[in-house]
Amino acid sequence: MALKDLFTRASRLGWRWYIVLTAILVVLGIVLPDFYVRLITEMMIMALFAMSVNLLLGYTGMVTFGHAAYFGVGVYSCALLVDKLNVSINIIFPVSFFIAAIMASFVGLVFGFFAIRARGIYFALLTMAFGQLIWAILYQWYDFTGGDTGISKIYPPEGFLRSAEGYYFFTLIMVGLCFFAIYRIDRSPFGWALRAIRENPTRTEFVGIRVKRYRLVVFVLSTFFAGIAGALFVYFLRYAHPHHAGFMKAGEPLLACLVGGMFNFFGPALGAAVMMFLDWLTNRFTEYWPLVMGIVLVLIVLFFPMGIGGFLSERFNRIMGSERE
Amino acid sequence: MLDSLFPQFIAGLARGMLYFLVASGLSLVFGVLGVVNFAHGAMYMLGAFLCYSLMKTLVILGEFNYWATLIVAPILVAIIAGIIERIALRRIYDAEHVYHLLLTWAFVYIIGDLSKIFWGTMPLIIRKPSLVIGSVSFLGATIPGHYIYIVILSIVVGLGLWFFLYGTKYGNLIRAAAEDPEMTRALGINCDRLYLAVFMIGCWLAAIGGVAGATMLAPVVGMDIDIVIPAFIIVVVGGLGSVLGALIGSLLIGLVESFGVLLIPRLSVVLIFAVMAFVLIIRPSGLFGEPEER
Amino acid sequence: MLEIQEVSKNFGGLRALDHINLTVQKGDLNSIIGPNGAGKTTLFHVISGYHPVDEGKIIFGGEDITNKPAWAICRKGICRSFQVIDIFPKLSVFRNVQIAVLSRKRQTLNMFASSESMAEEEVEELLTEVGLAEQANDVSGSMSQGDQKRLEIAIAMANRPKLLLLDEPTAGMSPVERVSTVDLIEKLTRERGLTTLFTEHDMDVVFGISGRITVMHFGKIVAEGTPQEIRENELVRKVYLGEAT
Repeated sequence: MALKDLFTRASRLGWRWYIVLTAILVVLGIVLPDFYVRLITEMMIMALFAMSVNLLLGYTGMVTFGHAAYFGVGVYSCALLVDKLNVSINIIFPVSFFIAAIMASFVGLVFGFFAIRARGIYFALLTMAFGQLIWAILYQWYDFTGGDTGISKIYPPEGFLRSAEGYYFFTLIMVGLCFFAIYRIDRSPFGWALRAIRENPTRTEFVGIRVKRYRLVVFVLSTFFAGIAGALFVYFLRYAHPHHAGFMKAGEPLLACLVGGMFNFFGPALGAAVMMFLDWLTNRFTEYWPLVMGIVLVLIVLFFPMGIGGFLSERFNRIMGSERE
Repeated sequence: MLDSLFPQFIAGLARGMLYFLVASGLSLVFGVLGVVNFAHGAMYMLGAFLCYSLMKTLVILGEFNYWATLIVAPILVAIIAGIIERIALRRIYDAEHVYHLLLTWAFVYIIGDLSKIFWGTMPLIIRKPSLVIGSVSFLGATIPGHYIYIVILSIVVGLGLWFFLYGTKYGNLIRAAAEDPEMTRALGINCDRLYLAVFMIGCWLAAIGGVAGATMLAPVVGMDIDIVIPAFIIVVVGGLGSVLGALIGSLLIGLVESFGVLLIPRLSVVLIFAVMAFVLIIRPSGLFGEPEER
Repeated sequence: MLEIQEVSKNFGGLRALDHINLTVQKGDLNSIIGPNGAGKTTLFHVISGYHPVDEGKIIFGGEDITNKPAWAICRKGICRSFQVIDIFPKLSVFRNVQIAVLSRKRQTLNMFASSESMAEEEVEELLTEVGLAEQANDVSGSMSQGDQKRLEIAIAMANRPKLLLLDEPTAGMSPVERVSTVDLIEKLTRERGLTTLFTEHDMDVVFGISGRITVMHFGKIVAEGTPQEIRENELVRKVYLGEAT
């Protein structure tokens, strides 16, 4: 039972996990070769994206299929600013992050306002439709967004940030800050209100909480973080394409949440890392990553619906719905 | 402008009826099983791809090969659907909606990639049967033969579906199961097999759409997503579970798309979303839908 | 305190409530009885904002609260428990009550504070009051029905209501549990100056503690009065005895 004790003690670390993880990542950033550094950078960005979706999925019980839209808004906000404005990148770079977050949140507010009116399945379908709408606009507005060609040459400022390591640490800081914010939300009364809404929206209404409003608030929050993830992504990839707001991209955070576990704090991040790892692994042998992804997803849904994180939690903790939730 | 209105109307009608074939199956599956099948578009796509392959295999039948395919391909797709239902779908009927969505989404990936493996990524060319080639002049417009074919076929299928659901014992059973699953189970009806049958029928309908649509659009990977989005919009607008709603919704969306291209060509895509948003605001469960309790 | 005027509610062709008139005074502990389907729960639904009325008005503390949304009515001071258990099953007992307390304190939009031990005292006090203090960290969905019903009461109490609506609070309980729950309801009403309205099937409970009893049948009120009056009422006997056979 030594493993069980280890896990139980580990989960009691709580916020100290944060420090341990950060330390590990810092060391990896210094030690690993560029290729792996870039891989982990992308993992971190996708982890943030997955966490943003989980604010809706795991905490509030809202399935959103179109979150790539807000990610894409983040991507294109930065890309368009860099491409169209003739200002030094040193100024645009920090500003673009603000703009990306604000634009994504704004679109989230507008879409969210309508989406919230629908419940359950209808909400999922509406979010998907809105996602496709953004994709379509990015794709068809050739004059402005470059459509299918995309926008390239989106570089971070010269110097340290342009190196793999530099951008890695920058991403680590940004994602770290976002995770911290989400952690605060997780522990806050608001976080518990979200869980209550997930468990029993009617009852929540009856304890005096205006469920619709809370849903909108968390929706906008999640689009805010998705936008930041998008901004981080475009400077990483140095290229923007409507694909980044598309159908396939929208599925990735959902998969990550499912694989890693929707009901644990680090679950989505874990899931994102696992998915990216599998992606990289699969691509060494075959180009049919979606096929593998689909099969993994089917297996998880059928046999491990709680995800890896949930599975571990249940095996070793047997506590659900307590503080650790 | 006025003389392009009528052709656009016919085009919209044809599109709408094609959508109806697909959307009716989707709506039926949701109404009875409570599952939103993201892979529904994939079934449509399989129908189109199998149409291509079967036509090549059945070359001996000469001209008749398309019509034989129209019969056989949807049945094959129904069988594939049945297999999916047995091995995967049936285990999660009682699970939360998230899992339905994610599971069927997974099959979109799987079927999509398998299609790429078997049929490649380029659009495939299908030789239209002679009955469908050519066009008819009507009210000053030239209507392509395949539009007429699609409209007639979907009307026939639609009537058949309606008769099946409202006029046969099994159809009534299906409608009962849609309205009150517990009662139906209590009456001793084997809901297990019922669900399997409904799922297969739903996908069969989508595949017919695929074979029919193959005369109009070249089968290519990605067509599943192209059709599933409007199909969802239609089903949402018409109301999940309502076949009549699917019909009205399909015609509405078909026509909006058609005229939209005329009016605002570049952002015509926006229009159908606007319609959906509008309908959902005034009637959150769609025009003919049942409000969802959750 | 609560006035229900000519309230009617239809569900499709079914007249669930038919011109209901009811008054509740502050400090009352009254009950509503009637056979299944009489409309008791529907009446509660309509008062608490779960369903809108088709006709009539509901006045609470002088204010018209007809058709207001559930969350607003809760904030005005009417809280309820449900006939079919309606808690937060995957959350712990502590969290179940805590969320209600935090809502009352308007803390639930707070995204920054750690809620680990917010309002701990108040929650514990409530749990002790209903006898669930020891189960504070248990998963609420895995408790016995009786315990869950008591949790319901605690959640309803957490919002410090002025009017408490309890829908079949002792349903599914053993006789022993029933007695203690009844005592609890009485104690809470007395000590906290509440006004309580509850529905029940168990006659002992009803006659034991009610100040006034209202009898409903097919959506109408057929009788109203003190326990003594009701016991002697011919019509009530017919409704109950007639139904029982």
